[in-house]
This record gives sequence, C-alpha cells and structure tokens, in this order.
Amino acid sequence: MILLVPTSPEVPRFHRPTWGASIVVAIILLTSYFLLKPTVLADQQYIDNYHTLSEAGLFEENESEQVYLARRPLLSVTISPKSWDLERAIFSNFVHGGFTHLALNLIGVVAGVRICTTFIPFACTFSIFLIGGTLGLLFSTLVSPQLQNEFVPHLGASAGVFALMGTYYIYNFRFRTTYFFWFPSRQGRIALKTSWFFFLDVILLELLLSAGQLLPKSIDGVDHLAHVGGFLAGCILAVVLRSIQKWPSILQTRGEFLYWTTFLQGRLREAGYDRVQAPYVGWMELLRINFFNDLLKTRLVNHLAKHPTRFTDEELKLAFRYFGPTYVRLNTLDMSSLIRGLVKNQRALPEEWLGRMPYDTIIRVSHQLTQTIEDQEVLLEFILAYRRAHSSNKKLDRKVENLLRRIQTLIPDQKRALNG
Amino acid sequence: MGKEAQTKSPDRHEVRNALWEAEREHWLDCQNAPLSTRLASSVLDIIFVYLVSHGFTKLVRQLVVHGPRLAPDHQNLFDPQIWTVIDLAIRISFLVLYLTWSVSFFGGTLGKLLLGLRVIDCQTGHPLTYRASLFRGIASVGMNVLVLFTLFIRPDRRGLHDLFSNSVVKKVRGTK
Repeated sequence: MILLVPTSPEVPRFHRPTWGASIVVAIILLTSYFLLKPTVLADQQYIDNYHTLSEAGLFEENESEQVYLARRPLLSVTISPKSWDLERAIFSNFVHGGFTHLALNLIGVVAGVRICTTFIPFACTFSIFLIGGTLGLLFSTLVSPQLQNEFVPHLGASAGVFALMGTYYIYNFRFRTTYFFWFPSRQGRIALKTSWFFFLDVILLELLLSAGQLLPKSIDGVDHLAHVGGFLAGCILAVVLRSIQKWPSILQTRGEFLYWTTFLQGRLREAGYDRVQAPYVGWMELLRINFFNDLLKTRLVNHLAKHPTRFTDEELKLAFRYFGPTYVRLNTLDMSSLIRGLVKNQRALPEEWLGRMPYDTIIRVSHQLTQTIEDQEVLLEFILAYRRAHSSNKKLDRKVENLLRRIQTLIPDQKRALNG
Repeated sequence: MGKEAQTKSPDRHEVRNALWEAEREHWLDCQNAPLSTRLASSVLDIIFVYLVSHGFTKLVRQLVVHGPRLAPDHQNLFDPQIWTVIDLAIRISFLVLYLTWSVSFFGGTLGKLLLGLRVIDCQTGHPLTYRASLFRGIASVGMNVLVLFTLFIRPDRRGLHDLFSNSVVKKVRGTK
C-alpha cells in the first residue's frame, strides 16, 4: 500500500475528497504522539532495565518477571493480551512507538480518511476509524497466542487505517480507484478496479502474514492480526451503514446518493414519466453529477439498446456524450449491442460521438460485430458512419478506406454464398 | 434450394484478421512513447514485480519457519537452503516471464499496458515474437550489466558510460 497509494476513487474533480478531514486526524495523531512521548521513552527505559535485570538473573521466578512487566509505563495507555480494557483499547489507536511508526501510519490515515470522505461524512469516517481500530486491536490482543509475551503493548493507528480501507473497499467495490505510484508527473497516477486490485494491494499480504502471527516466533514485529481485524471490522461497519442508508449499488459518491434520495425519485414521480423515459431521465441526471460512474452508463447503454426507437436523435446525442473512449474500450460488448440495435433500426449514430472516438477504440468495438452476417452489415454501416465523421482528416480517412476495402471484399462473397 | 441463413459467418475470422491488420497499421502510425511515460511504466513494473516477489518470499519464509512445527514428521521438506534456491529460481523465472512473455503475448508488460503503451515490431506493427521479446529483454539487462562489468574489470574503475563520456569518478574527501 505504501508503493501504490490509493489517493481517491475515480470520480470527477468536484467530488474528489479534500484534505481538510485528513489534516484534522493527522493533527490529532501528531498531538497525541508528542503528548505521550515521555511515556514511550519511559517505557523504553523500563524495558532496557528489564533486560539488564533479566541478564543478571535477578528475576528468581517467572511470576516476579510478569509482575515487573505488568507495570511497564505504556500499559497505562495501551493494551496487551494480559492487561486490557475498553478505554485503553480506544486510546491505543493514538499511541505510537516511534517517529517511523507514526510517519507510516500518518500516510495511511491521511489516505484512508481522505478517500472515505467521498462517501460518508467526517463524523462517520472518524467513528469507523475509532471503532474499527479498537476492534482490530482487541481482536489481535485476544487472538494472539498466549505463548507470546503477554505484556507486549498493542498500539498504533494502523488497525484504524485498515478499518477505513475496509470501509472504502465496500463503498467503492464496483468502481475504480486512482493510485499514486511515486512518479513525479501527471503519469504518476493510474486507475484500477477496486474489487481485485485494492484487495491485492492492501489486504492480501496482511492475510498471509497474520496467519504466521498466530504461530509462535512471528517473523516481524508488525501486528498483522490487528490489520486484518481492522479491515474486517471496517467492512462490516460499512455494510451495516449502507444497509441503514439503503444505498443503491449503482451509486458511487455521496453527491449522487443525496440527490437520489432527496430530489430524484420525487421529481420522476411528479413528472409522470413512463417506464421507458423515467430511467433515461434518472440516469442522465445522475451522470450529470458523476460522469465517471460506469455502472450508470452501462444501465443507460442497455436501456437504449433495448428501446432503440423510443428516443429522439437529440436524446441519443446527449446520452452518447457520456460514453467516452475509456468507457467504450472497457465495455465493447455493451456498446456493440447498442450500435447493433440502433443501426438495425436505421437510427443514426451521433456524429459528435463518432468524431471523438479514437480509431483503435472503433476497431475494438468492431470485433464484437463480426459474429453473424447480419452483424457484418452493421459493421460496414458503423465504419462508414465513422468515416463520414472524420472526412476532413485525410490520414485517418485513408486508413478507414483501406479497412473498408478489405471488409467489403470479404462480405459480398458471403452474401453470394447465402443467396446461391 | 438456397442455404438457410447461418447464425455464424464462416469467414468471421477473415473479417477479424482484417480488423487486426488495420489496428497494426494504426499502431505503426502512432507517436513513439514519450520518455516520461516509459519511465513511469518502468516504475509501475518495478512495483508489480516487487509486490509479487516480496509476497512470494514472505510465503517461503513462513513455510521454512513454521513448517517444521506444523509437520514435525516431514522436517526434511523445509530445508532453508533448498527453499532459498527454489525462491530465487521462481522469482527469476517470474521476472523473465514478466519482461518477455507478457511483451510477446499481450504487447507489453502490465505497467506499459496500463499506461496505454505497446511494444511492436517497427516494420510490421505486429507484437514481437517470443524470441524477439527475449532478445529485447536480454539486451536491456545486458547493457546495464556491461556498464557494471567494465567498472569492475578495469583497473582505473571507469565504466562503459565513463569511457563514452571521457569522465572519471574521483574520491576527493579523506585522501592525503
């Protein structure tokens, strides 16, 4: 997660999360760090003394050693397998063992709070950080094998960070996430599907390492169980929150959700749109709010493909504005169904849309129109329409002409075979 | 009696081939990838390769540390030296496959594909054959190795890049 940092869900600029909420949480963590630094330093000194006493053989019985460890300064503000309560479990989220520990968690907290505030208010985000983090730390404390030192403090904000990641995973599961990969330019960002890549990047390694932590002599000092516990807690909290909110699965951002619940349904009812027009109007309104929402676009594409004659040319033109090159490239099957439906019903494809499409995207869609002879007629019409839209571009016109010539020599042979 | 309309065209492969050819011609016409995008794709590739290698190494380490405890009757299966060699072999194989096979099969590594780049034959526009892709990978690594090699073997410690640029690196602090 440090190498590929999730910076935001793939949403329009005006939906992108701001830094304000992250800065507030970062300030809280920094303040806690400096306030508790004397306790952390005292604890380090205490443990150094423990090692000295232990090497000198001054602990006659195991019991006296346990009594000594139970009094370590950090356990007044954090929890351990043998010494925990709810208040200290909550407080443990704000305690860090050193500046490196704090710095790494700050990156996670800033990223996690920022991306979650695209969907839920700051109060909910902070509550999930706190509750999920506490549950993650408690999970680790209770599940860690007793063979490990019972007075090792479990602390840090990372369980809370993973709780935020779990929440984000649920809310943005069906959409894409923009990642920053430390390349200092515009190319330093990519968008990848949250469902599989986010899981790979954030949690897969933690699952592997937490399994090892259940055995004695864990490989590193990182609390992977708390990470996994926090992530699961965050997922569960998000599922519960979405159920309470009755959040439709096709909506991505909070803006869309608020518009849907507050204005849209009432407006559609009052306007008295029929069963064909109402979804069109509804999805177009939502796409105006979030034109990155591919699920809405797919619904719109399928709806237009199902009713190719029910919409005017102007309505088709407005709808096609949302089907950009990236969407078309990733959804060639749906787009080809729509194009097939329109061409077969002698509806014109919007020239504005054809003019925007890159040539390689058109070829990708064309591959879906090669199944049957009827499809290939659609293919010819489609490429002819594309050529008309780019008639002023001589270079492209030449390429399209070559393609048409190749296809036209193939298709008439098949027609003759059928008729003969 | 004429044939019934077939649901599948017998020559759809030819139409598809025509489309593929058109795509190749188009790629030949596209601009060469800018340096910044190529560097960005390399950074992404390094990250992906690291994530997979690192994950696999962690898995092997878990196995070697905890395996004997979980299966005490089969301790000989968890020899650390053998697993180190297996780990290294798998990671090198993965690296070779990632840098060569993916270029010939998909037209680029994952980093390149994500940033809209393709590695193609500059005459035909076709993806590279596996052999060409392997040679490309070896040449890329080889150049870096050559620089280091000359650095080691030359008594004056000047690498290939130093020789080309007529330069030398000196240690100027702590010498009398």
